[in-house]
Amino acid sequence: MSIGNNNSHVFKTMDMWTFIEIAIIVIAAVIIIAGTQRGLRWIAGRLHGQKKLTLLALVPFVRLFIIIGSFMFIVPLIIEPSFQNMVAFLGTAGLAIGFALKDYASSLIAGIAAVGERNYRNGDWIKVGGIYGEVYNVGMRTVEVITPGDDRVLIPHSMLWNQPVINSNNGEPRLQCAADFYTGHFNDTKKVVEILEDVALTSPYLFFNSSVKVVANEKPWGTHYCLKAYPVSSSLQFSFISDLTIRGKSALIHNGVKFPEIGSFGFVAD
Amino acid sequence: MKKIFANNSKPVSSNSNKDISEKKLFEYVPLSNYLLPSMPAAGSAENAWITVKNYFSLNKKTDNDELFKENKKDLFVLPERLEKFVAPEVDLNDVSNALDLCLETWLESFNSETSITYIIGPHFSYNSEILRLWAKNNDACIISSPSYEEILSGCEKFSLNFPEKGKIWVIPDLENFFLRHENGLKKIRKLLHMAEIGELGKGIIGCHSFAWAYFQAVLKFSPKNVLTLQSFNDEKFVSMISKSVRSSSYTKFKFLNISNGKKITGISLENEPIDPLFTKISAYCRGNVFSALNLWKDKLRLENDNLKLKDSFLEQKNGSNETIVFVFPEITEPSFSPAFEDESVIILHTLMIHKSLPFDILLRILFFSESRCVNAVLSLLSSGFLEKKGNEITVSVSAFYAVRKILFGRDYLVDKF
Repeated sequence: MSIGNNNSHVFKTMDMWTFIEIAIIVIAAVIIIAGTQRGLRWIAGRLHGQKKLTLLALVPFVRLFIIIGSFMFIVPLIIEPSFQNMVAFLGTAGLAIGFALKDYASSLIAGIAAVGERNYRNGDWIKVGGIYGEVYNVGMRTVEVITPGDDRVLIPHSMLWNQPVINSNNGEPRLQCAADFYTGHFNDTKKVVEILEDVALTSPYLFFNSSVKVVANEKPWGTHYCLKAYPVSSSLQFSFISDLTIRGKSALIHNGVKFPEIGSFGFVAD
Repeated sequence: MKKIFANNSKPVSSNSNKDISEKKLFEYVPLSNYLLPSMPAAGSAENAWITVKNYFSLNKKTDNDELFKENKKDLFVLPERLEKFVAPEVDLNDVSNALDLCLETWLESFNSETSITYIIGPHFSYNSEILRLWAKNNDACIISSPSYEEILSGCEKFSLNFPEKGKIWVIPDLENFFLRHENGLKKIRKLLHMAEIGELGKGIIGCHSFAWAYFQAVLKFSPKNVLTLQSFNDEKFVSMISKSVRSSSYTKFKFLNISNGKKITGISLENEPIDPLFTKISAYCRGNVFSALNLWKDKLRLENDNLKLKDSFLEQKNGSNETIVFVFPEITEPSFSPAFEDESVIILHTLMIHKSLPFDILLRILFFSESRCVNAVLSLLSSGFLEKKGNEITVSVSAFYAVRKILFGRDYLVDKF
């Protein structure tokens, strides 16, 4: 195959075997990607903590390496592998794709940046554009997030360029949880703090190698307490917060702590 | 914790066994001096393989009996009259005497800083029974644990009857003085504070190792006088069994590995190397002699013919006969699903910390819905992870180390034993 006199040096002559070779490389890459993705996920599903997250974080890396590897096999089959030819081919192809599929290309490049910079990894809990959830899959174009309500949300990587990404655990197996409590003005603040600390220390979900903190804030309508602690696993965050809230409220009532009467001073809790 | 590094198979001279028996099998040491026996390389690989099989649900065989039947037909559990020789029970008086020896100096002195001695023991170590026995032998006052209702009530401290100053008191089971509940925590904190400042006089507090780990994590509590029964390594373990095996007057025992027919060495005759099986058992049980003996007992079987012959031997009291005991060399654990429900893991952890609990109390401190809790407990009971002891539920002895591995793997608080 030749495309004019100038292009005859760029492209190789492609016969049936070249097409078959390319097809074999593509099929093999697809099979290897599917196999490794499923295999790594299957193994990770049987592990816990840091081991699980490390393995899950490998998934997009492995896919990227396989894609780059297969690309490196395919390109020399199509064009003469010289520096000038590569620059000319990749430059032209890049320009064409950039104009025709600008947003798609932007997401793909952002996807590579996300994998390289590790802004989010599989298993992380992130918040992008008001959507909070667990990263299920860092794909080529989108990041797949499962929300606490079990919705599957596909967020384009291109949002990385102009949106803040809040990563709650950043590759760690656990994240800080906060349970809020609101009391009236006329309570023994020290006692409330002690009660809330004990509530956290007796939670079955608590991770012990981290500290338990109670932050108190005075508000016009009363006092806002924020009980902060880490659960043993980030997947237990909602159970942990529920446990702290239920037991915390029960303990405060049991100890005679008075709660604010919403609206009685003309203020509403924020 | 320190570690003893064990070889695969080491020759033990008769002198070495004598050394151990002369030295004393039971010895109380400071908690930081507890020597955790190490698994031999082959045992570690096997242990890792068991864990991998469990993680990937490949471990279908969980029952020793099934595995025995697979290897050899017509095998039976040893009758009691033989079992007492090949798997002897620990005489708690010996352990109590060892404690007595260790506390000799402490008993004579009084110093408010060291007025309390803590004795920590792992699960299935009979720690509270030993302390009760010691208290009885030394005329010390035993402080009974409060009721669950009292623990959960909102009052500031326990209404306990401590003796007048000068008389020693013993709390054999501190784990029964608390519940993982904000009210339970408040009272145990107060009790330990009063004990530490010498307000309660001189006493001994026994505690289960998981509860102790919890107190240390939650109360940031690190007292001075903390003792524990030193671990049983393979040499001590073999010394104990061999002494009993060789004391049998009417029969000689020969132990054969059921998988390959090879002799299990180290217990029948003197001057034999210790079989790696004993190193594996003592390391698997993390130096707990009671668990190790239980595990060893579970591995022993007799052939039917041998059982019948044995009766005639006993009648004749003929000392020249040999009884072949088959030993299953692998350690089996209940298999757990990798997708173990969070509720199940939390129930297991709660029971490890409290040692055992009645179901209604478990329900009160966990805040799960009753139906979910019932389902999880029933499932754990049927899969062999839990067992019922009277009114209370506890982690079964056969599943204890598997449960510890699960909890450790999921970053839950575990003991150091």
